[in-house]
Amino acid sequence: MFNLFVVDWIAVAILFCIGLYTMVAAKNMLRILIGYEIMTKGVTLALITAGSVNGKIAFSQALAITVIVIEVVFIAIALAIVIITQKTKRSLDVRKLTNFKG
Amino acid sequence: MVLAFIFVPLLGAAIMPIMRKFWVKGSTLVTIAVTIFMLVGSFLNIHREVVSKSSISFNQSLLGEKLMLSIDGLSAVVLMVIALVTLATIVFSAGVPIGRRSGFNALVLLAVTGMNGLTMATDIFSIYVFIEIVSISSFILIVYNMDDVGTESSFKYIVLSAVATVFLLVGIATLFAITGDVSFRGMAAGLRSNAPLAQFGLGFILFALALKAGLMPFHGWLPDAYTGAPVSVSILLAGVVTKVTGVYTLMRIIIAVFGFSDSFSSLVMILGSISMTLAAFMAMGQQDFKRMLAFSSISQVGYILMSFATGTSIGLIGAVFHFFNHAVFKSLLFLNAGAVETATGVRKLDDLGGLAAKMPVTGITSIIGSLSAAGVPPLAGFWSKLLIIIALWSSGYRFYAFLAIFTSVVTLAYLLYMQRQVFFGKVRQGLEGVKEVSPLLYGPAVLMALLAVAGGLFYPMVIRTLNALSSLLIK
Amino acid sequence: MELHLLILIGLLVVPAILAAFAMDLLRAAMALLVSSLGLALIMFNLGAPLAGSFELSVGAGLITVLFVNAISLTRLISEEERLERAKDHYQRFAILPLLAIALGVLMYLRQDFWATGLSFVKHTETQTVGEILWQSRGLDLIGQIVIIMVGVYGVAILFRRGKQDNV
Repeated sequence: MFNLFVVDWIAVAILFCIGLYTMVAAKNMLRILIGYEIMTKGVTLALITAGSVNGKIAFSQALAITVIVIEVVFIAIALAIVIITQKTKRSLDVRKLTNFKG
Repeated sequence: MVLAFIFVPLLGAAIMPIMRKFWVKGSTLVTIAVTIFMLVGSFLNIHREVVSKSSISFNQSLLGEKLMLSIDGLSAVVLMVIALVTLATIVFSAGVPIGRRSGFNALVLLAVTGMNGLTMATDIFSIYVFIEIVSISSFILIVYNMDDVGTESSFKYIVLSAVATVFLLVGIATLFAITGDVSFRGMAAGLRSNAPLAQFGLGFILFALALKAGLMPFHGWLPDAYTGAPVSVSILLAGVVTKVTGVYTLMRIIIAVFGFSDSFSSLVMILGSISMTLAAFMAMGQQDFKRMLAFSSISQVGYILMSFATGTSIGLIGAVFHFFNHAVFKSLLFLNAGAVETATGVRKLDDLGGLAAKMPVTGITSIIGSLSAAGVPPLAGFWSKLLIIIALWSSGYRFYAFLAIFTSVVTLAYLLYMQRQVFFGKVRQGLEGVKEVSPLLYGPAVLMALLAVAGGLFYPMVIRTLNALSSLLIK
Repeated sequence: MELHLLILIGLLVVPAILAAFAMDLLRAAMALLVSSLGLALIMFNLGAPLAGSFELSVGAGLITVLFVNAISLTRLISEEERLERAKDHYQRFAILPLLAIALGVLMYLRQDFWATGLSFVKHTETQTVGEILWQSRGLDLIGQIVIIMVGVYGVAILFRRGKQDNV
């Protein structure tokens, strides 16, 4: 017998760790943003699961829709900044972001 | 009146594209008018709360929808700080060249809308929404000049806020699963048990907000963001953005939802004292004007949070007073750094010198700012640090009180070093022709310096007001 | 019942690992799309059709379009950089599937540690999603309007062109 909450939260934890690991290990700016996307998927699942275990599924849908809208704007602006970086630096390698020291 | 704090800046931002087509110069005037309106409005709020001794809570409806907003003592002060620093930012930025000014003003107004909403929100999910508004507008503002440093620091800020956002949302989802509500009142009522899951949610939220506030182990992005941003943006970032999204939100969530517990107090005490002392030492080694101020900012956040973590009434007054003072003197110092950078084009401390004779107003205001930051007696910073030390001492954190005194000596040392390098001594080669900047650039600095002096001279009145406000806050 | 829930979760998690793993960014974006699809199906399954369709149209559709655009606009990486990245790419991410499986197994076996004492109060709701959004989440709706404005202004500013109108 599966407990819905347990199984879904294991999936959330796995997505969370994959995303975090990707953000830390990636060398390409775009892959860092993909890591963020993976984590956000986990979070949306967490909200919906939370709503379905405590019976407030409609409420949690309202929250999830807001999260998705915000996620899109975040990603759009982040990608725009990545494109500008490509224009000024000709590279997307995070190891070359070394303007600041100390 | 409460809704105006959200809708007036929003309306201001919405008409900016029209202003760009028809009356470009007017966009700054409109923005200044909006901020002055907010400043007056927040003064009236504070006055009303002190007189009527009750917090303003509104269950307003707009076109049939209910909006729960409230202003208590803490948020009234924070609203005033937001309006004040924004005014300084806009007036300063009017004096420096900037591409597509109407867009800049619109984004600042949208960020202010977000901060005002964050300050008045009464549920944790709205807090998340408004934090995102503020962060995304800050990404764009940091990269506004489209240069190399701007994109780099903006990307670092994006990565850190992405992590913080996800942690915050996992915390919210956990607490929502347990309590079935996201409003402060519903959550506080629902959190009856000490289930491991509730602790886990609190931990995630605290981690996210510590990232946002730039506390010491998680501070990596903050100096880069402040240094890489255009001058006028770093005033806004240092003065209010990180303080409101990190520090204020932390205070609000603890007060409204979780309440003070011993484990929370000791954790924040340790993090706060690490930030306070280590950041002060790291500021000492900096060669870049703005970077030194950024580390100083981390150090002052440590003071605010330590004072808050005592959980006593006097600690809270100290935290709120220092929040206000920090916004005043830190934006003053960033205004000076901006004026120096605009006049000379240099930010490296070694390459500057003897500017006090060339730029008298900037020199004098920066001395006032430094002394207030270091907590030298007649100025406002002294009284708030005194309150913090008294709060720490009287609630038994004597070691931390000593640490706070010690750090303010270190603060005095590095700020005086900065003064000596930049404003005193011999005039460096190549800086002979430097002139005082235009009144638009030093005007806000003079205003902030006057506030720092006035807060020190009229401190009994300030503390009485804060006392009246904070008695509303702890029930 | 349980089996198809597990399959859907697999459809969410496995493409997510692939997205982190794929050397080619375009493939990573496609894997993300499949993962979004899995998430939407889970949402339908949990009784959240509105959020599910939103995730399908916006989360899967729009975000993939944005990613593909950005990838094609930034494809100017020099050949040597690509080779340099190829060298240790799989090594860096090799641990990821193991990590995911280990975490899943560990969390499943040690449920007593993190999922004990969970008793959720069952609430009953009478309102529909639209009513909730309009009546009790009004502040979030305003927030959404503001954030979309931030996005529009931001894109207009970040891609401004021509002479900078300094005034």
